Amino acid sequence: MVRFLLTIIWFSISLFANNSFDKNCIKCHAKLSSSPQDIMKYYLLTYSGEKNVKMGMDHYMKYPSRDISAMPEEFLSEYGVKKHQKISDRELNEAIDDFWIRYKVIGRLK
Amino acid sequence: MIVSKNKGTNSLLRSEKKSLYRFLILYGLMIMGIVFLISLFYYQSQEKLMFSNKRATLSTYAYEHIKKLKTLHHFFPEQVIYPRDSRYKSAIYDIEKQKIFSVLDCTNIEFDNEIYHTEDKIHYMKSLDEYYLGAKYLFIEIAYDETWKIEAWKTIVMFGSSLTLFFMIIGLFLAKLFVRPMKESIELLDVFIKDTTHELNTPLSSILANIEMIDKDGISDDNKRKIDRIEIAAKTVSVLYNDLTYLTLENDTHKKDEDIDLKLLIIDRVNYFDSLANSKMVSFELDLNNINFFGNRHKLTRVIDNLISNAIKYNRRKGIIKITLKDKLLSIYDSGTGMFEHEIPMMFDRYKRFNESEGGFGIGLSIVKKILNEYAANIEVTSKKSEWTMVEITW
Ligand code: HEC
Repeated sequence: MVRFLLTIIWFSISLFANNSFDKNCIKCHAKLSSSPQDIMKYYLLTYSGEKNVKMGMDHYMKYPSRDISAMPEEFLSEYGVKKHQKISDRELNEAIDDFWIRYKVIGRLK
Repeated sequence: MIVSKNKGTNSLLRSEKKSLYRFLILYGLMIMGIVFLISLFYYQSQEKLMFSNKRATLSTYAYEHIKKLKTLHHFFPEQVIYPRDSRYKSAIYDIEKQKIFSVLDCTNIEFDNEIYHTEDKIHYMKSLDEYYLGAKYLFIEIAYDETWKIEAWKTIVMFGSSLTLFFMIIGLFLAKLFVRPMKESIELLDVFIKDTTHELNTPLSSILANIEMIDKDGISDDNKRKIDRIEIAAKTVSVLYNDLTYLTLENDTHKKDEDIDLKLLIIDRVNYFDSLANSKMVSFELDLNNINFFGNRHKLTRVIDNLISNAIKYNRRKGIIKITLKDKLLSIYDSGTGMFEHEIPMMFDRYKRFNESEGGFGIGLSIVKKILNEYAANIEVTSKKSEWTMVEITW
């Protein structure tokens, strides 16, 4: 039932999704134990600045490997290293930009 | 041409004074330089001390703040309130020097210095090892109080001035030490002159008295000339004798001030020097008004004698001497050898002689100066080398 609902939600989101992240990434990431926000926090912890974070993600998307992952060991062992992404560079960049805008810390602290 | 005004003379010569002043100035500059360097060193070390004190507190603050950032990182985005502290203000920047969050008062930030101060704030920068919330740089800001500066300045002024004073006293002591041999040699000369003059009195008066008593009508022209020469010589020695006794016994002649007819006195002295002037074919031109002066006859005689005898001594053959006496002005002009500009200020120094071919001890003008000082009179000398010299006394 939950699964069905999620699928419906995902379906409607992807139907109306107007940005690359929602289109390409959310379908898997909604199910992961670490939310995209958590992933962003891990990336910030390792890469700090915007350009750095984006570069790190981009690199991992293209050449995923256990050694360069910013995620903790448990997370990786839960899901294994993810498979190579088969989306265009432009779309990946857009997705990463969306990722950044949505989950960054700058501008959200009070 | 140059003018020399009265200044107090003492037993040190001008050239010696000059080198003394030079020494003192050089010494003073050196001391000031040393004191300045020490102060600078002290000031900098105080600043360093202040910074290292502050650094200790600041790094504790930074340590505490990082712990709070870590917690916030963990609970983000459920918690978004940036940790604040009343003791300090802080800011976090990412690795690209983008501001993540800041509560600092001061907006211009330096990333190159670990610790620095602006006008009223001290900034401390700490690099994070783990970039909580993406923060690579943490800035801690506290108020910069300048009390240490005031304290440092107080110490510098106090110690600096006492140190300068101390060294200056030592400098004066050293200068005195240098001067002593010069002073001693001058004093020795004084003592020597005092002793010798004492022995001159009787023979000299006897010579002069006897020359005056000679009946000049009953002797041949040849002998008359010889006697004139003896008289001239004796009078020259007599002027010298009087100068020397004045110098060594000057205090005895004090207090006997009286109203003196300067015109009469000058005429009397010109007559006295007539034979001396004749020997050099120097002629006098007198323009004398009736002027009275309240003073000591003996002293005024020394002044006039010295000025006239100098005017003769340094005159050329067949030269002239013009003496003018007006209200509050006595001027003596001679058509003599003159002096260079630079020599004029030194001419009142004791034992100073410009022309070694002329006799004398070089004490005449220093006496003149001394006496004129007593009567608050001014002496001005103007001269042109090889042409003329003019001495003007005003009172
Ligand atoms: C096929 C499912 C799937 C899709 C689509 C997907 N991801 Fe992932 N992603 C995963 C899994 C599984 C992991 C955890 C394994 C890992 O980290 O390698 C992961 C991990 C990540 C990580 C953490 C990488 C690390 O350092 O370990 C990032 C960043 C990430 N995804 C970004 C994206 C972005 C951006 C997109 C869209 C372009 C995307 N993902 C699309 C399945 C997916």
